[in-house]
Order: sequence, then C-alpha cells, then structure tokens
Amino acid sequence: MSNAPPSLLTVRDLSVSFATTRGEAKVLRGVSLDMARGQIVGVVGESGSGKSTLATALLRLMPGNLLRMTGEMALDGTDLLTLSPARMRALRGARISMIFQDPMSALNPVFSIRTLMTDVQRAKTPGASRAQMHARAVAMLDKVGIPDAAERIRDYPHQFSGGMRQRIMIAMALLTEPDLLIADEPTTALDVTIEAQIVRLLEALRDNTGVSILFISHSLGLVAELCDQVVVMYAGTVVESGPADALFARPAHPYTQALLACEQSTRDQSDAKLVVIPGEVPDLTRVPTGCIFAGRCAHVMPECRAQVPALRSAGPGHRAACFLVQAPSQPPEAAP
Amino acid sequence: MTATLARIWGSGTGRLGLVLVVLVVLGALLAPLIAPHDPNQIAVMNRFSGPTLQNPLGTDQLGRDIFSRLLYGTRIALGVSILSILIAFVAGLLLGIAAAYLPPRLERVILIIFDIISSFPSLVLALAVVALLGPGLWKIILIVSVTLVPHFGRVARAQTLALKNSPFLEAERVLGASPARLVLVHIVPNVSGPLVVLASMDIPVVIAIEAGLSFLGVGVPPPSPSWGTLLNDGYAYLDQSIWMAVFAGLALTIATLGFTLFGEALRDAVDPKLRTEP
Amino acid sequence: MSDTMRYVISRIITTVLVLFGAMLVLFSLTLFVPGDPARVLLGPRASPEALQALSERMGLDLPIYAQVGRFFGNVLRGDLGVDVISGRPILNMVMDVLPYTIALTFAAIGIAVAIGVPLGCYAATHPNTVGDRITAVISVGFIAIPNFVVAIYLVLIFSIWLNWFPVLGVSRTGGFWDQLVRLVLPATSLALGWIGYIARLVRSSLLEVLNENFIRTSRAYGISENRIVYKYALKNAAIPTVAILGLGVGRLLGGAIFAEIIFARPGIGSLIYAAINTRNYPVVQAGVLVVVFLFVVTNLLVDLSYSKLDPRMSRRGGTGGRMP
Repeated sequence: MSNAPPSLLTVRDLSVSFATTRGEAKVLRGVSLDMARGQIVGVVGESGSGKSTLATALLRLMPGNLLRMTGEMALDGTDLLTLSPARMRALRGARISMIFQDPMSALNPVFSIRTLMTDVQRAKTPGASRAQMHARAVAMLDKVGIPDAAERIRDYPHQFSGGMRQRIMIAMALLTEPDLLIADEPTTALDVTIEAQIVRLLEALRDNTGVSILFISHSLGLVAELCDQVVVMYAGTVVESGPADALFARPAHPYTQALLACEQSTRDQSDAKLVVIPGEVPDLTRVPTGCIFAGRCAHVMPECRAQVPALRSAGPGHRAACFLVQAPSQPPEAAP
Repeated sequence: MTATLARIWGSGTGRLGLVLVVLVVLGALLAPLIAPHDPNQIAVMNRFSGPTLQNPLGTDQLGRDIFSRLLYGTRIALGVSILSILIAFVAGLLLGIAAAYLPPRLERVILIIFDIISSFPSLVLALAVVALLGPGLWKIILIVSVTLVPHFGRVARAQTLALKNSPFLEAERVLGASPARLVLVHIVPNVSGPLVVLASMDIPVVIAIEAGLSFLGVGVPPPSPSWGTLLNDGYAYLDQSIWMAVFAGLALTIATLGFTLFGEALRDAVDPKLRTEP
Repeated sequence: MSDTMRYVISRIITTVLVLFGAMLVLFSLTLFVPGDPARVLLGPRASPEALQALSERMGLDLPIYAQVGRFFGNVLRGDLGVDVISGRPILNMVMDVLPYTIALTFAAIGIAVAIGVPLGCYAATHPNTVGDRITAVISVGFIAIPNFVVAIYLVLIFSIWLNWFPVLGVSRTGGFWDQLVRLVLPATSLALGWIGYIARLVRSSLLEVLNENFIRTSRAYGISENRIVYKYALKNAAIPTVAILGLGVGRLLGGAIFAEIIFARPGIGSLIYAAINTRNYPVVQAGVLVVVFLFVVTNLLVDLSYSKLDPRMSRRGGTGGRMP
C-alpha cells in the first residue's frame, strides 16, 4: 500500500442515520473507502445494505429525514462534509456526477434531451454559447453510442428505450468532465444484453477519459467483470474490501462467500433449488451488539455475538471484518 | 364518530370550521327564540337604521330588523342545501351503482348525461331554468340537486366498480347471495361513506348558489329573507345604508367559510384520497 | 400518431354530443314555459294578429319534432333568432358584449395565475412553515367566500370607503388605461377564489413532482435549486394546473354575471340578466347556449393542449393526465 497512487476519494468512518417512525435507523455505520484516480471500484451488497445511501451521501443528496451524518469524506483533499451547500452544488456535476438505477424515471419527461443537456452545462461553463453547448451535447451523445445523435437530441426521454436512456444519462453525467462518476445500479432495470453493453461502455469511457467510477451493484458477477477494487457491504457496514481478483479468488468473509455461492447457484442451475442465505437482514433501528452478520453466519462463534470484529488483513490490500480471517501464509505477491 | 370529530377538532382550521358550523346550525334551529323581532315586521319610520340596542345590526329599507332576517335566512340557506344535497345524494348513488352494473352501452349513456349536466356551469343552468320556468323554492332545490347528481354519481360508480370484483363480494356471490342483497348490504354502505364527505363539501357551494340566485332576483321569492335577497337589497340601497350589505355578506362568509373548513377537515379525517379541486 | 388522432377524434365526438345534449335541454325547457311564449314576450295588450305573426315566426305552431329540427338547424347555421324587443339578430347582441366578458374572464385568470402560482411555489418550497400555513388559510378563505360577496365588499371598500377606483361601468369612449382601471375590481372579485385554487394545486403538485426521481437527477448534476423549482418542476406541475384553468374559464364565464351586474358592466352575464328581468326568453336561451358553448369548447381545447405540455401524451393518449 506504500506506493499506492494518490487517493481521489477518501471516506473514513462515515455514519448516517435517518429518523423513521420506529426510531433512528443507522443506515451506515463506520464505512471507510479509498479510491484511486482512474479506478473502477465496485460496491456490492443486498438491497438494504446501505450501498445506495453511500452513493447519495457522497453527493450529499439526502432525503429530508436525515438525522445524523458523521465521519469524513474528501474528494482530492476537499472535505465534502463541511462544504457549504452552494459550493457542494457547484461541485455536483462538475467534479462528482451520478447515474441512477431507473433510467425510465430519472429523466424529466417534459423536456427534450437538448434542454436537459444544455442546462447541465450552463451552470458549469457560463461563457459557452448555445451553439457550443449544443455541439458538445451532440458529441457526447455520439460518444456514448446514441445513433443519429444530431437528430435525436431533439427527442424527449420517452422516445428512447431503457438502454438508450441510460446512455443519455451517462452522457449527461460526463458532459462536465467529472473526476468521479457514481453509478448506482445503472443496469438493474435493463435486460442482460443491454446490461453488457452499458458495462462495456463504462469501461471504455474510463479507458478514454480517465474518469473514476464508483460502481454500485447487487451483482457480484458484474462487479467481477468491471471493477478493479471491490467493497462488500452488509447492513450498513463494510465487511470486506480488496482487489477484485484476490477477493473473488479467496473471499474471506463468510457473507461474501455465501453471496458468491448464491450467485453461482443462480447461474448454474437456473431452475433447480437456489442457495439462499438463511435469515433476514437485521433491523437497522435495533442494531445488535457484536458482528452484524452473526445471526445468519454458518460459522458463528460465541465471541461474534460479544464484540464487533475489526477489519483484518486477508492479503495485500485485502481486508475482512471476521474473527476467522488470518493473513495468508505465503508472502505478498509482487505488485504488477 | 367521536374519533372523527376529535380529529377535526385537532386541526386548527377544522376547529374554526366546527365552531362556525355549530353557530350557523344553532342560529337556524333557535331563530324564533333568539330573533328580537318578527323578520317580516315592517317599521317604515325606522328604515335604514344603523346598529342600535333595539336593532343590533340595523334595519333595511322597510325598517325590518336585519339581525332577525339574517337569523331566519339561515333556515333558508341550510334548508335548501340539505334538501338538494339529499336528493342529489340518493339519485347519484342509485345512478352510479346502476352505471357500474348496467351493460357498457347503458353505462355510456349515463356518463354522457353526467357530462351534459356538468357542461353547464351550475349557476348558469339554474339561471336558465328559473328564468324560463319562473322562480320558486322547490324549483331551486330540484335544479340544484340535478346539477349535483354527476358529482355524486361519478364517485359512486368508481367506488362500486372497485368493490364489485373485490374478493369478499366474490365470496358472498359464491355462497349464493342475491344481487339485490349484495348491493343493499355491501355496496350501498361502502359507497355512501365517501359520498357523505362529498355532501359536506357541497354545502357551501349550494349556499352560494342559492344566495346567488336570490341575489339575481330569481331565487327564493320575497319576502322570505334569503341572504342573497338581503345582499341585493343592501347593494341597491348602498348609498342609504351600508349595514345590510355588510352583514348579509358577513353571514354568507361565516356560513360558507365554516362549512368549507369543516368539510375539508372531515375529508382529511375520513379519507384524504377524496381530495378534488375545485 | 394514430393514437393521438384517435384521442382527438373521440374528444371531439364527445364534445359534439355534449353540445347537442345541452341544446336539447335548452330547447325542452322552453316547452315548459308557463303561458303562451308569444304573449309573454309581447305583453298582455298585444293584438291577436301580432301574437299570431310572432307565433308563426317563432315556429310555435309547428309540431314539437319540427320545432326541434328548426331550433337545431338555426343554431347550426349560427342563427340564434331575432330579438323581438329591439328587432336585432340575437347573435349580434351577443357578439357586441362578448368581448367585455372575455376581457373580464382573462383578466381574472391572469390575476389568479400571477398571484396563485408564486404563492403555491412559495408554499411548496417552504412546506410546513408558518408561511405555508398562512398561505393555506388565505387560500381556503378565498375559495370559500362567494365571488358576489367579494365584489360587494370591494365596492364598499374601494369606491365608498376609500373612493379610489372609478368602479362602475366601462368607458365606451375612454382610452385603454381607463378601460384597464375599470377592469381591476371586477376581475379581482372573480380572481380571488381562483388564486386560492391555483395556490393549493400548484403547492400539492409541485411537492409531488419535487419527490420524483428526475428531480434528484437534476440535483445530482448540480443544477441550481431555483432552476429546478421554477423551470423543471413547475413545468411538470403546470399540467394539472392548466386543466383546472380550463375549467376556470368556463366557470368564470358563469360567475362573471355577478361582477357584471355589481360593477354595471356590459357583458354576456348582464345581457342574460336583463333578458330574465324582461322575460325575453329567446335571448336567455341564446345567451346560455353561448356560455355553454364557450365552456365546453374551452375544456376541449385545454384537453387537447395537454399533448403540447406533456410530450408523453402524444404517445399514450388521454390516460396520463393527472387531473386531481
């Protein structure tokens, strides 16, 4: 880790809680994350793991019932938590941008693509003329693979398919050349072939523009395919993180192992009995003491219920929050 | 019932509405006890008097006591609204349920009739009918109820359609309940709930229509002290005395504001989904 | 495209049906007029010859089905009959006063939008604050009070008490400015209730829209909050508001009668009112028919203009309108 590239995004001990009718829901608890420039980092977890909350927290686009938000988040040394609302807004779109899960509802239906894409630029490049902004928008649509972009920019969102809309959203997000693109389950609402196209597009964009991508997904397979680094989240905490190849080759946390087994079984025998993780995600308004996964873990030990296991090293850059984790015996492999 | 009233009392505007409604209803019920004078007693020597101890709100162009006339006017306002809404309620309920059960062709006819009635602004329809057929208390009640029927009928139809295929009615049908029993025992009570809320929200509308027609001189015939007639008299003699216009307007405002606030609080307490505007 | 056409055609057919129905209602009413209509019009001292002539001219001696046919034929040709009292075509009488009513209606709608929309925006962007509550109370007050009471109070306050505005009448000779000043109070009396409706409607639809996913998208791209509310969300919220405004124009045409009488303005309302007082029922019938026609046609136009505002409608047809 000593000669790692300078970090673009650093999250330290981020905790977020919301007011609900049943009390304070601690949706994120002590989440830490590092992201280098030009990397694609995957965040995986079931629904309710807090991965989408993490995404919106980075942009500080929190719903009105936000109760507490503590810790540190810094982009290139800029503290995102203490930034004034006005400066945070200036930073959104310009340095961090985001694409959303459901492209059907994420684009305003009563404006043409041109209007939407012009307005995104307007705030960031005040000097640009209408024609310049139009030309840039068309070029960007072209880049993300919208055929006949010069014509179709006049159309409205409902006139595009789901995959095309997601491409449009990616184009909007990249118009202002952000350093970081947060992709919150961008392919969940799309079918498999479109999903593959979008994933390849993201990869190509990273290679061409150098944008870093925080890729949030519930699919380990997608993350394995696309990402350099992986963060596994469970019930609001990071249970395992590390380089994608190491993590998928030797998953260290029982939760990651179970998740992998589930996905394997879905892929191999689509109609046979699925492997599922027994039990339910804990109620985040009543977080139990000890390891958050203890209730569903196949290897649970008495100490798991008594105290929260810290993240331990499971290899170079690879860490997992489990008492069973031991550093691998073989010496760390040489950095490529 | 008490729970609903408690919720209405709990919202600030609902409480104001409830107080005003109770005032208006008490005024109507107790008019003979409270009124200091006979509402039609003429005292020409004492015309256009301002508020005095003897005539708390002054007198009109014939020296009649404005306070007493307004009190009796409450009975006209409430009587016309309650009767016409009751008629529209029953007719709308029956037509709406019928529309939901009749074959599509007949349902279409009923809906077109509703559309035709709603295509007249209600005041204009009432105006046309009264202008052609001549004024009269019952005519007004009948016309106003006709203009309100589509309002109740559409909601009744929608509610019936939603209920018609619900599992619990299906079960009853399987058990051999007759269609008449189904409608009477299950549909009518379930559909009536939302209609009661609509009815309460229509009261201020009808009060305004009745007063408006009387203001135009085609409403409740004189010497009945309709608020609209009083307001028109007040307007006609504005240069002699402003009190008639001021207090007749105030009475109308208290009643319509009270019933509006009460109706909205009732809707919010019972079924917020019924929000419709205007 | 064919979906759009089908929707437009079905709306037009319904409108025509409704108009025919309204004409039928208006015609049937004349059958119930007590007494001989010709005598009512000419008065008790008319000669039998004059009565006979008028009856024939009005077609009163024809069988009912022929009278219906005559009535419909005349109306469809734009012939609303001739006024017995002045001898002028009724259509001309209506057309003379219609501009005053339309000016009044649009002035009222204009005032209602100019005040109601900002009030609604303020309330929606400050939900559950004191300002929001005050707006809600003002709105319901405006909605509840009948417009003729408002009109009379306006006369009381501004012309009798403060002596500010030249309140009554229109100046047929006066300049534009004079016309405008005389329009202020009548239009305000009509607008007040609509300010309330519009403020409430804009508030609720704006609050709903501001929770939509696409608003979060705009925020994520750093678009300023003002642009988000007043450009992005307001256009979405405008769709149900326009529907209400369509209804508003129709209702205002009916409500304008009070403003016209109280402020002594010419207009279709005061034409009908004067005709009622002289029992001149062909004029009443024609006036009401024109009001209904304007009402129904406005509603049709508003429905069709939806597709302009909401691009989704041109695909989906008439189902997507979020009428409250």
